[in-house]
Amino acid sequence: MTALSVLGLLPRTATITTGDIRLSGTSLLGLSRAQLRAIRGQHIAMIPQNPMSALNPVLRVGVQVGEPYVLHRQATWRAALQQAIRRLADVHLPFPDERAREYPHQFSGGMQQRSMTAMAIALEPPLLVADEPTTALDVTIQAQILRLLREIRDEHHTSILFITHDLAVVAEMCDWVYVMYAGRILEQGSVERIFARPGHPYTQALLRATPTTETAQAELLSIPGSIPSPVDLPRGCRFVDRCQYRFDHCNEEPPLLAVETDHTARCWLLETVHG
Amino acid sequence: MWRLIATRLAAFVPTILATSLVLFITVNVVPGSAAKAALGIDATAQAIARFEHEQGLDRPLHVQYLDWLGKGLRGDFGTSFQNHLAVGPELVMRLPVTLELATLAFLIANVIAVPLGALAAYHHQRRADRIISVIATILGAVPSFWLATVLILILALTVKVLPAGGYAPFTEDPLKNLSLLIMPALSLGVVSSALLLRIMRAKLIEVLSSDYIHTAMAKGAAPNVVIRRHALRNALITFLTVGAVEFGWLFGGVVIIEDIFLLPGVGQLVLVGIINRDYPVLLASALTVTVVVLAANMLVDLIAAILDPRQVHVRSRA
Ligand code: SF4
Repeated sequence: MTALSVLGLLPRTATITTGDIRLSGTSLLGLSRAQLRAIRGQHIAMIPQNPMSALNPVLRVGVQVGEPYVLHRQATWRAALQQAIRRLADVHLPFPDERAREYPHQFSGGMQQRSMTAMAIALEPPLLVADEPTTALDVTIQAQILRLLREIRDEHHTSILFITHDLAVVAEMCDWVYVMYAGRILEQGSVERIFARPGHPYTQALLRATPTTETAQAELLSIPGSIPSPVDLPRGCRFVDRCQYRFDHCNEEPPLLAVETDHTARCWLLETVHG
Repeated sequence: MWRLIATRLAAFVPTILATSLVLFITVNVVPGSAAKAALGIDATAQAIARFEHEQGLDRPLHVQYLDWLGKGLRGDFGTSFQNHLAVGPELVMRLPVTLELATLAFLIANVIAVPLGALAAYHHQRRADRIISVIATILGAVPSFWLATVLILILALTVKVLPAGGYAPFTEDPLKNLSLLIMPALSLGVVSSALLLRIMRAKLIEVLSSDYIHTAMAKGAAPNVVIRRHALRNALITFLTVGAVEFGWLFGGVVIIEDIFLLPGVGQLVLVGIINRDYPVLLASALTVTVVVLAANMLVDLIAAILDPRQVHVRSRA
């Protein structure tokens, strides 16, 4: 949902009630449909969760990867296909000029995700939104795709908004982390600080529940309870039903409070600690 | 690709054989005597027995069937009980009429169904969608013979722009041929467009909610590009596969429509065959209709398969 709303692709029935979406200082919410379309693909592109269903089954991969050049650069299809082949080479797809002429179902999952990545970086957008890009893939392929995304970040100077529930991936990929729970940012900070000193009970529980080499043998910890339904959110702190530290104050929603410099969390405990 | 065609063809033959058997049994089980119909109600028992013996109708059913099938395979469909003309050549003469009518009707049905269905899907649950759905319901409820009558009343008898009935071969007078076929084709096509329209709408709605449509929009494609480039072909593939099955329904109307518009097609022969209990005529013409429906089915199915790269291009190296 977050990713879709950033791209302005929420279903007709959904509206953004509060907040703003800004890209390099411009608000996206005030833009017309045509202005939004100019941004999609050029300034923001998306890498999907499931590359198999995100590729059009009846169009050749080269056509799909090259389409942004036709849409935004008024390129001819012939030129767009040449660009597509270049991009497919950028994502290390073997035999890119042959592969460009094939259809998605002829690709493996990893190759499909490479193609989606090639499509996303076609016009070198400053922002990529990667929505759990590796959940549908095998573990070995996951690692390859992550390596590819890091390479793109460094070589094309692209920011990546990486949405994942896998903390190992967070540790490997991210500089800055937002921990989200039931539609709220509960904690934000640099990846080192969040892992070294998680400020929010939810983040702490998440980290405890993640297997490491030391704890792998022991029983996996999980957080008791389940995520509240979006139509029946608790009053006050969103995590209140599952928090082992909750106290009277928690039926009021906490603001983001400082844990340390450049590291905040939405928990009343921090107020007690600091003042 | 060729394998695809070959497998479809291979399925075609047993289907025809099965249909021929069902047809043969049905025709013989239905009450009514061919001899009485041919000789008149006051024919003597002797005359009837002689007729049945001459025509081989007194033999066991399976012998009759195999005899009919064997001759049929060699193109000999017997002679009519009524006018003693050979049925085979008669069919060959009439088939083009029916084929042209059915093709035109199917084209008309699709020309109505595809754009309107797409429009309704694009405006899903908004006003245009509701209006089109009402139109589809009305079209679907109209019987084709009624529409045919109304068309004749208006276009042939009141405004007098089209002839009310008759036939001229396309090769002799294309304009006259089309002017004679347009009303029958409309009465069949318009009615069957209702169902096709609903299928098209449902398929496109389904396609429009899929992930690759989101991908296309995330690339910044405008709605018309999304529909044309990304959605339509996917929707057409499933639409045609279902639509091919519905093609049989369209053909059911051919019999009556040919009769109304005095078109000398195969459908008319079916009708004559039923009324007169003229078994050779009935069997051969009904079988021809079946073959045409199945062949058209196969063709539409094949077009759908060709549109779908997943069926044409088998998975290559991993
Ligand atoms: S605000 Fe209260 S309930 Fe929420 S996380 Fe902090 S202690 Fe727990």
